Amino acid sequence: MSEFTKIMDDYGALLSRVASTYEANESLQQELFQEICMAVWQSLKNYKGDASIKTYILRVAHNRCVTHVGKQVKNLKTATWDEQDKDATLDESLQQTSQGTEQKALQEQQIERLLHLIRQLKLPARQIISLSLEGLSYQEIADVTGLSVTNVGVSIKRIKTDLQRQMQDDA
Amino acid sequence: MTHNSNPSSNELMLDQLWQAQSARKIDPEHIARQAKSQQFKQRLYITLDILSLLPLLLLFTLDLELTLFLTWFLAINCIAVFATVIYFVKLRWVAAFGQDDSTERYIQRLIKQYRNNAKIALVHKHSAWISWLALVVAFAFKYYSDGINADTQGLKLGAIFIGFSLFLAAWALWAHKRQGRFEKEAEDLIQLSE
Repeated sequence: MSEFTKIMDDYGALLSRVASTYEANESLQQELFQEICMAVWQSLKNYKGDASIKTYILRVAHNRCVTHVGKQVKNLKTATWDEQDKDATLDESLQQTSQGTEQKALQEQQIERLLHLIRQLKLPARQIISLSLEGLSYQEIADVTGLSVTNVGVSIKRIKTDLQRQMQDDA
Repeated sequence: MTHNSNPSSNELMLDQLWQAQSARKIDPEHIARQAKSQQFKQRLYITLDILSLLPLLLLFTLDLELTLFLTWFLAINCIAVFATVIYFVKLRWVAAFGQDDSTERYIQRLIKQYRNNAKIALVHKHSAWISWLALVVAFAFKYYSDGINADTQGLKLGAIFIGFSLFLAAWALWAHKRQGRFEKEAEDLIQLSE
């Protein structure tokens, strides 16, 4: 098994979540995910082991996403989370309910809402919160983002509080 | 440990939701093939950029007798082309191999790159009317020094003048649009990253 295949086995899901942090459109998300994977493949030969491989590929992945956002921002038809979206998601969820469990449908709806809220954040905040939700330590997040550990800590607390409040308001 | 070791139930809820996202599947072999092909193209483009300097270098090997004006004109163009090629190679190199910087530095570099591209477009835009003016001066110089035979040369020079003017107008318009696009991209990225 090649090093890249092993990395994709271990971190493929993580990289997929990075793509969903920056892109809402399904087909563009798939495209971005592929671009991230290619950027990781290309960057592996520069990896010198001074950071963990997880931190390293996350840095590459987020940077690739920044380029994507920079290029896509002019095409953005910013979707707002209005009642119509909520109803549409709910309809979809209800259909799933008839097929599967109600719990799963509700969870899908909450995930969509969470992703939507995160995508509304500025780039540094978006990056910090997604890395935090991936379970990275403050130090690791600081290594990826280039921000200070203190700044990271303060930002995470503030962003999480805001997200929880908005999620509860919408519940 | 700097990570919060006692997350609240709300924080746990966010973490669990995040991890519950459905992940996309990808074929690593297919990605590796695509990445290799992309890498080949990147290297090819860098090589072609460098090779594009060859015709200019050949000029220096020819034993040409040039006027002072033409010598300066060629020298300035050579410097401009050389600088542009170096800049493009640098951009390609960074795009291919500069992805592992911290994101803060990466964003700053990207903004700088967009601004530089906007500046290059601005130079291109102004080079259009300067070239047009140079053409008018050259024609005027020819008219007053050698004279222009309206029967034999008039039509040809008129066609050259109109064709060149149209080309420069299109060039200026294209450069103006590029300048606006890069300025907007830089501005959007600043807005998103503040």
